[in-house]
Amino acid sequence: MSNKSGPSTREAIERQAVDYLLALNGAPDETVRQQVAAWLRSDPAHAVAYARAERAWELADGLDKSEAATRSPTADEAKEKLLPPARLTRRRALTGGAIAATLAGLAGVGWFRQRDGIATAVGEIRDIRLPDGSVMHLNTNSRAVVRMTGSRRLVRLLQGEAFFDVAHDTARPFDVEMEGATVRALGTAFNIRVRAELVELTVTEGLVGVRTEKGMAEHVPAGQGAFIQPRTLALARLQDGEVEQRTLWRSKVIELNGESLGQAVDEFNRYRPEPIVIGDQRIAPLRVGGRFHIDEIDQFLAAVRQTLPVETIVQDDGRILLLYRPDDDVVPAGPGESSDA
Amino acid sequence: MDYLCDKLEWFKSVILPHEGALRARLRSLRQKPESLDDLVAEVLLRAYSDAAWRGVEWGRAYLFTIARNLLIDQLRRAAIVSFDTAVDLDQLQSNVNLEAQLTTRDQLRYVERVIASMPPQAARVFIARRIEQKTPGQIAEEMQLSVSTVEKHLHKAIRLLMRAMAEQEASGVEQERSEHEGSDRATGR
Repeated sequence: MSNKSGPSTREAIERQAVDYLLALNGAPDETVRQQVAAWLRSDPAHAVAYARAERAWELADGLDKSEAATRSPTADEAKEKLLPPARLTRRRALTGGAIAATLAGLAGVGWFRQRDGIATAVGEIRDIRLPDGSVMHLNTNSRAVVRMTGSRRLVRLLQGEAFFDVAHDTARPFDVEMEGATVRALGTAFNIRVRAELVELTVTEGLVGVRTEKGMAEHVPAGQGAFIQPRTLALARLQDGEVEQRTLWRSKVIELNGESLGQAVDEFNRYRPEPIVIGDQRIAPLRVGGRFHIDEIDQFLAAVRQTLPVETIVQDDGRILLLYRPDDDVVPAGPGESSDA
Repeated sequence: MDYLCDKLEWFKSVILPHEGALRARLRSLRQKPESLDDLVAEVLLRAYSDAAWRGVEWGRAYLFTIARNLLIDQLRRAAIVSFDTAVDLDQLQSNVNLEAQLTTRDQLRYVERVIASMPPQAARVFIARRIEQKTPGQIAEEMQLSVSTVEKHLHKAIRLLMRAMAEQEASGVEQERSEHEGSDRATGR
């Protein structure tokens, strides 16, 4: 390990970084800005220290003074107001030439960047209006981080599914990043579902660009979808109704159109803390149809009982067990061919 | 200049949120406190110095990989590797699925707690400057301090926040894991 990373040097660098951070947050003149930029470039350890200082500074973005000063840590958490309005005007006041603009970026001007981690619980669906006017509909059990800068709108979808209504802004591309791929839009609407093995993209309006980590790239127009993996990018022309089916979750509706019972159960289970369990794999491949509200599981179960040789048992812990009901006229399709082997 | 800004922005948003998790994990590998800081600093430095930074999206896995390589290098130099250490190193293989970030609300609550634990003067100055957005001159006048004293308090508050940030772990999953590792740690010393 180099001498540079020794504790005393590190502390000196950290002090310098904090001093520069404060200087840039005051009313720095051009000389100071250039001095800081030169200092940052001269040693990566300087840049690391500065980034740490700036992050610490920005962490306080959105703190409300009364709360910071008086709230006890255990006080109630209902405080949506902590998500601050985007304060975009500040940036304009600071821009004056390229160097000034970018150094405003350096200076921990957190007030023109809004960075939010947003998550939904199992069964929760939330519409979130982003600072640029776009709307992100976040489906059950999903997580996203939003980052808006002057030149870029970025959402990192870490988990789950989201539908984006993107506000038009050709100067600032709207990017959604998942593991292995990025989807870019200028002003359109599209749905992204992060599945275990792949990402499923559905475009409902406009045109969307996809680029995978391994450099595959395609444009996907409205009415089409794509299956995305780091090394594969497969476009799919969607049937009539398929686009709607994939985005109906926004109205809390699941549409089944010949899906197998296994797939249907998986779909409902996304919204349920206690799962529906298929207790007999012979019934898993049976086909089901119909439209159901996500919260009205009883209707789905009733439909299953009516149309299929299946009995449904609600257990004490809230789980619902689906079993084959042999005393029925209907013969399950392909018994024994199911995948329990 | 844009490049520098982009890179700093990347480092802040992709890498630094995982500094706490890195530190916790290295600590669980029984790194001594004095070498722990060195090690974390070295890993961050290498992370920043990577020319291919633009491709790095998952900070936690990235940091853990760097740490693992660094420790393996050290062990090679030390020549004798105990079986325990080799096994421990596997803990540094991160599953990207564990990547997680705190929600803004969790984050702010954490910052509030840190501010509440600061020396009162430092906390007051920080709130006045950062949240009420007063100038050091205004704060000095209100609190009847010199401007340089105000700046000293501010400086101190930021460094306390940096220290707290370096200890903060980013995800519930990670915390669960650390508890398991806690038992290993107890028997390991």
